[in-house]
Amino acid sequence: MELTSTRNVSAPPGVVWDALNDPAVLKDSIPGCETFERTSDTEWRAVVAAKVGPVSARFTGRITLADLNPPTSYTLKFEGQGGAAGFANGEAKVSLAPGGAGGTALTYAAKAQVGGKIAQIGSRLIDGAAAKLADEFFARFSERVAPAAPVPVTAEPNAPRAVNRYPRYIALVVLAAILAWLALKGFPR
Amino acid sequence: MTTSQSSRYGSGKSIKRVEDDALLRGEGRFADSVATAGQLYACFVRSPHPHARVKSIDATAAASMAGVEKIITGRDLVRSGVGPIPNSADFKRADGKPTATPLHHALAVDTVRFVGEAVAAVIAATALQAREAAEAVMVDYDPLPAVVDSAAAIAPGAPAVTSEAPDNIACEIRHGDPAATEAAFKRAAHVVALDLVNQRVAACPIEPRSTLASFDEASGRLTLRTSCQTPTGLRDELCDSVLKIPKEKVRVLVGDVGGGFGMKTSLYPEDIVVSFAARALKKSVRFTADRMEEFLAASHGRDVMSKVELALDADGRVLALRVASLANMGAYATPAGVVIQLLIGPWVSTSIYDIKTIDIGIKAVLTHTLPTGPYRGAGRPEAIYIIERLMDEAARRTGIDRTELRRRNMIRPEQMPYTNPMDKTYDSGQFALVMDRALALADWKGFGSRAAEAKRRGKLRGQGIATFLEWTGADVFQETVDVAVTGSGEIEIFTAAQPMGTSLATTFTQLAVDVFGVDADRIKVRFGDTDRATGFGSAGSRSLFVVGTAVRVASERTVAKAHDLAARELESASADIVYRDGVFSIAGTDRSIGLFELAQRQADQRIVLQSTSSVDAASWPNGCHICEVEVDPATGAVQINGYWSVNDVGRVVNPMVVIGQLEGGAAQGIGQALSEAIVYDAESGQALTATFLDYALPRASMMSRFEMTMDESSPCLTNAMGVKGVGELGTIGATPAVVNAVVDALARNGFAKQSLGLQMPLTSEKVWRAMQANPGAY
Repeated sequence: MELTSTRNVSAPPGVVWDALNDPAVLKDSIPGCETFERTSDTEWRAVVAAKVGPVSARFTGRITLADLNPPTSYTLKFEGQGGAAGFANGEAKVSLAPGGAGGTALTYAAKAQVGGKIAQIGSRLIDGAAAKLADEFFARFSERVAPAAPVPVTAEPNAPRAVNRYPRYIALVVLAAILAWLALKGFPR
Repeated sequence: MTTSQSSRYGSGKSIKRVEDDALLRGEGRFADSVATAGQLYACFVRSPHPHARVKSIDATAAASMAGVEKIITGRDLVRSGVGPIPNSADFKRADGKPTATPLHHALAVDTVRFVGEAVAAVIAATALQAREAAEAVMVDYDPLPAVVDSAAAIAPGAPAVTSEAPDNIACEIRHGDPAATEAAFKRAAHVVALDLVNQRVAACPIEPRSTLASFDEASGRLTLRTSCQTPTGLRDELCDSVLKIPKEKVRVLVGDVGGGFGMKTSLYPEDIVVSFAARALKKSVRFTADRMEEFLAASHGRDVMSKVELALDADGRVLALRVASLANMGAYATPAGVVIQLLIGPWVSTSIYDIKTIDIGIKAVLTHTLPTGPYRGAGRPEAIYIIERLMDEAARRTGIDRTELRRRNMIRPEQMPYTNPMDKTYDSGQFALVMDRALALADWKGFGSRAAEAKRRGKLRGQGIATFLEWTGADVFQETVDVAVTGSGEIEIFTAAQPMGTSLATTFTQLAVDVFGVDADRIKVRFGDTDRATGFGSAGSRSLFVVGTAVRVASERTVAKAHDLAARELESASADIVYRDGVFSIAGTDRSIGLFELAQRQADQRIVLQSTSSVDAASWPNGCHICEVEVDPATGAVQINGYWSVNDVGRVVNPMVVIGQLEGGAAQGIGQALSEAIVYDAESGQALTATFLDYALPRASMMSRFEMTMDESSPCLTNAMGVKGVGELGTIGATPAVVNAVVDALARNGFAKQSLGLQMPLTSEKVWRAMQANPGAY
């Protein structure tokens, strides 16, 4: 249950890292992201709404961060409760590296697990929703960070499709929540 | 003409179903179509986790929502003295202890053990209010590690479903003679071995489960209107074990049932909760499952993985069969779930073959999944799939033709009655004759030209065969039937059998017409009321052969009783009275009295009789199913090009009904072979197939050229009518016939080795992947 993807953003790593810490950028970039709030020094709460097929889910997520290595990498853990829609738990490792033409290769490796109705409802719908969310996020994010559109470098689930159908969506929700958290937290530089 | 009625409506004829008029007019009375004024609705809060501790349930917000009358948790039920659903206790673990399984509370008390397990219920004024409040019930879970696959569950270190079974083995059994089997394998000229997975499937009746519980304060009685195959068993289990109230305090009513397939034989948690709520609130409470709840919480079938081996001598005679199986019981080992896999399947493990030596070991494994239970065939499809896959593999190994290998091993008619190594005795059967008729029907010998023609179109054609038998009757052979002949001109027959699309009203009417000789519309068969008739109900293909026999016996006894009454009425010697077509007359005179007129003259204007009778033993229907498929090498897609079967069903009461049962059964068997699978994610334990988007039922396009035929030349000897059970036969034969055809298509075209690893359902993806290992072969 792992999803790995690298996106090339047309801005240098420092600029991307800063953008990841800009609440305004992230608020605009994350589809369905409604609120972020600090609940303690180490915990944050994010609300991300999404509609997958017939299921409308509003995930209330708790986020913790680890392995901070600014400005190149971090790991975050996410626990989201979607009420009747189910739950989502996950972990994502995000890293930034210099990419081609002065840009940044943003790589995320997300492990995620969804449960309850969202897992049951028809995973092929989630596939499409996940792809759409991913594209939307990077389109908006890159628009803010750099004028050029993002270039997908690779996008390869490393498990067979049959057993890796639904986590893609949640990986994106996780990623969205990660970024949201970073934005509010005021990530140390 | 005095015999006109019985010749028009009696047994042996395909009369139109007496059920259909009401059903076609939309006047069917299904559980959910009966409403009572002021009924409340139950909605269940279900676990999203396969295994978790329930830390707390906060229903504060939900309780104050509009329309909410009551919120019930597992602790509420326990506090009120509601007992758990009975678990299996009849088998043993290897350590000698009885079956280990967690207590199965209707609502989880402090631990959830599968996704979809109910943890709380909301009772509200409308279904929508109940649902909205259920979504507002906050359950705090502490997730625990889970295991859903039975092989993974018995591996060291796997999370245990119950502390009583750290190895997750609820119980186990070993049948046969391991030493003799080992010796047979040592001296065998040929040994074939397969790893077979009989995947988990769902029954998917059109009508989901539905129960309306109503409490009458004046009488203190609870009435359940439900969709169930076994109303008496439901009542007894609910009263004796769960609510602990006298049986007289509960009445179970069942109307039309839109399919059961074994799935509707259990007392479900939802039945208990609505019963409890109705008694507590003194109101009517309804639960009707939605389709997702059916996938999550209505018992599944099959889910057995097996290592199977066959030892043969140089001539292809089977020396021994060895099977080691893991049967996935889910989180709670139910009595039916265990007995199906540990006993009923093994009973037919040697099928129609004269195999004397077996070694069959089966472990009932607990996992964090929905419990498994009866599903059409229940144990027999699993066993027959094993032996029929092995027979084909043995034919390929030995080079002996598949039909010849089967023929050499078949039990011959002169060996009847034949007792198999599981000590089960077959009364009748002409297995070679049935196979020969099927081979002719399917033009078996003409396959070569069809395969060559297919190859010119770029398709790989395969031919599959399954010859098999099954045990029917559920080992409940006694039945009580009540008959009332009324002065108003009706013959009412009360039975505890329960039709579920199985045309029992039609069939029983025909049987009664045979005896009474009156018009079919005079016969009223009454089902589904535990106040009027009690008994085992309908399961295990017993309804015609056990209950139908009892209906005939009861009808004969009623005529005999009326005969004596007529003699008195006509003031004649009983011996001088003859009965024909509803009229008693004194032979050689014009003095007579009609049956209904006779009833009118009785004290309460009716002739009543209660009749209890038995059949001698199980019936053993059998058949030969043949299937031809074409595989598209570009996509792996399997197309069924023809399906033929000959079925020894003993004597036939209504050919149309029997053919319908065979066709529907085969359709479900084809579904398992090609498309159906309940999937729990191995890593997360999540249920991935909870809608028809992900659970693929068979489609009409899979059933082209479908020819089901009956062979009536071997009447059953264990019942007076000579009938054999037929409800499950098609399902049992279809799955191996189709899989053998696909394997044959691959094996003929250079994929013999790849086909060994194929497991059902044979989706185009799986078949295509198997062929990629040797892409140039065809």
